[in-house]
Amino acid sequence: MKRITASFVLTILLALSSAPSSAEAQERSHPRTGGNAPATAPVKLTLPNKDKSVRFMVIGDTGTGTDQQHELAKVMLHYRQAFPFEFVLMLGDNMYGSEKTGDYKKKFEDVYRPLLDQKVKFYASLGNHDESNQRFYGLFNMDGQEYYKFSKGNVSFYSLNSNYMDKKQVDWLNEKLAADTSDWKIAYFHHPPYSSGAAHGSDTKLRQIIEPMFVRHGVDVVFAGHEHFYERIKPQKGIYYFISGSGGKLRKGDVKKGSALTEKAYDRDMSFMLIEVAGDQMHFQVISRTGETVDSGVIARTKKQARANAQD
Amino acid sequence: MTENVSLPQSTSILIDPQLSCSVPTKLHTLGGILLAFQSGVKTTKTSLLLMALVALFSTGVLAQDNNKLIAEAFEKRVKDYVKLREGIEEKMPKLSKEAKPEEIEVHKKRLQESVRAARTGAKQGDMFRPAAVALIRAIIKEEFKGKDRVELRKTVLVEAENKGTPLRVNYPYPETKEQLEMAPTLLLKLPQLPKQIRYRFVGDNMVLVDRENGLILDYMTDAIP
Ligand SMILES: [Fe+2]
Repeated sequence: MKRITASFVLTILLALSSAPSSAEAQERSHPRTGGNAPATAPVKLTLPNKDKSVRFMVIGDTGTGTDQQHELAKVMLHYRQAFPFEFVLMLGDNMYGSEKTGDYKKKFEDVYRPLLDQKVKFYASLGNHDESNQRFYGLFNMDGQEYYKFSKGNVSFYSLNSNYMDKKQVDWLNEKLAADTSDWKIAYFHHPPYSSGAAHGSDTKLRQIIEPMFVRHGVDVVFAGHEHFYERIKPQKGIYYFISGSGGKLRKGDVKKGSALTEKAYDRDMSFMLIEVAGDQMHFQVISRTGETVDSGVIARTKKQARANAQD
Repeated sequence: MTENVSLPQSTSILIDPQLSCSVPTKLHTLGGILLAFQSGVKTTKTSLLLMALVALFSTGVLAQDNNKLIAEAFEKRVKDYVKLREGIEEKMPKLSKEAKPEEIEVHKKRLQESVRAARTGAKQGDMFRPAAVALIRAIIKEEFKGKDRVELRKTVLVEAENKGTPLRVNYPYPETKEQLEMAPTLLLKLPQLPKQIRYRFVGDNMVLVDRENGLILDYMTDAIP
């Protein structure tokens, strides 16, 4: 409660769905995918794309190597031409099924080769289909750890292992968050603390342990996967929770209609998120496999002073 | 006027002498004498209740001590395995933090083979001895009650994609099977494991798995309440 009243308050300023109408939206045409791939809409960027902002992409549950995953990757590539995101957060289930050398190639490297060639860095977290040994894989940038922290500009990122949130990880997270003076604190991991998914739903046991830490230490935004759809959760205890778990799989129609948790959801096709943190604002745009923008908006945090007050 | 009665672990309780007891009572425990009422004191309902509370309390304390010992012994058995496995790993080329998939695959296989060879006699129950099994079952039962129990059973016994995984000690857990999430609330209560070792539910069983070589170290049955 203290945090909600005294600490920074995040507010959705704008949440447009389906049809971005910003005059600043950039538009580019790009080739349509061939074969049986769906026709893709032209690139329409709703993000401000400012010079010094922190720009990244969020993908989850990608590790299939299917044609659909390739099609989605093509849309990502087109959007990168308009919005040169520097890195990617992976929300786990990076590798479904076996994890032999060929699987890394088929389910990751081949799919994102153009992005890898453009020096885009991927920062993975582990899902319930991922072996711990993925943490050694150079292209996942996990530094040999199942959970780790890194910073970009004024943003701290916490990649957590929600498969196995043991005492060691809880202690580590508490310690790191307590010492963190970044403007933005973003946590990402596989299992969603809040979800309107019919198949899985909210991970309440995980929430019970991590949410008090997030609240206490001022985590602003959480990204999770596991559910094969997109959902923006109504802010919970001042924290914005997103689910983006349809980067390689789709559970069509799985979002419970009329769920009290849902601010916006999309479960008709696969999707990914583009994020831009510019000062005290975090802009987001969610794009489907057909190139449609299915959600977009901006989250604002109040001035730094508010956070300082909250820490007193 | 009151009488101060000593309890183990520096706990004390104030006894009102008006609360009388007709039967001279001595409660002996492993920790020593808990209570000693003077003889000839008349029994009242209150004193009996008080005695029962004290007995319950002391039983709880003792049970806690005993559980701690059981947990520590279990943890030690797991640590002994880790020592052996670390010794083997030290002699192998170190896996880089920027490894290629083929290096990861080779490292896992080598570690798996070497550890298996060093533990040919390993069998079910080596780590999960009966006292540890009883303790772990009790912790899980305590953690998952009512709705939580229903949810756990649904997740592990119905939805999980690792059902039917063959459980054989010193054989690998198949990498194609789901690495089922463990509830953090449970992990905080179970005996603590070294970072290399994981608890995992597989059907009705609780399994110990090495996160790097994928070997099943041991398993216990009837883990799900
Ligand atoms: Fe998953």
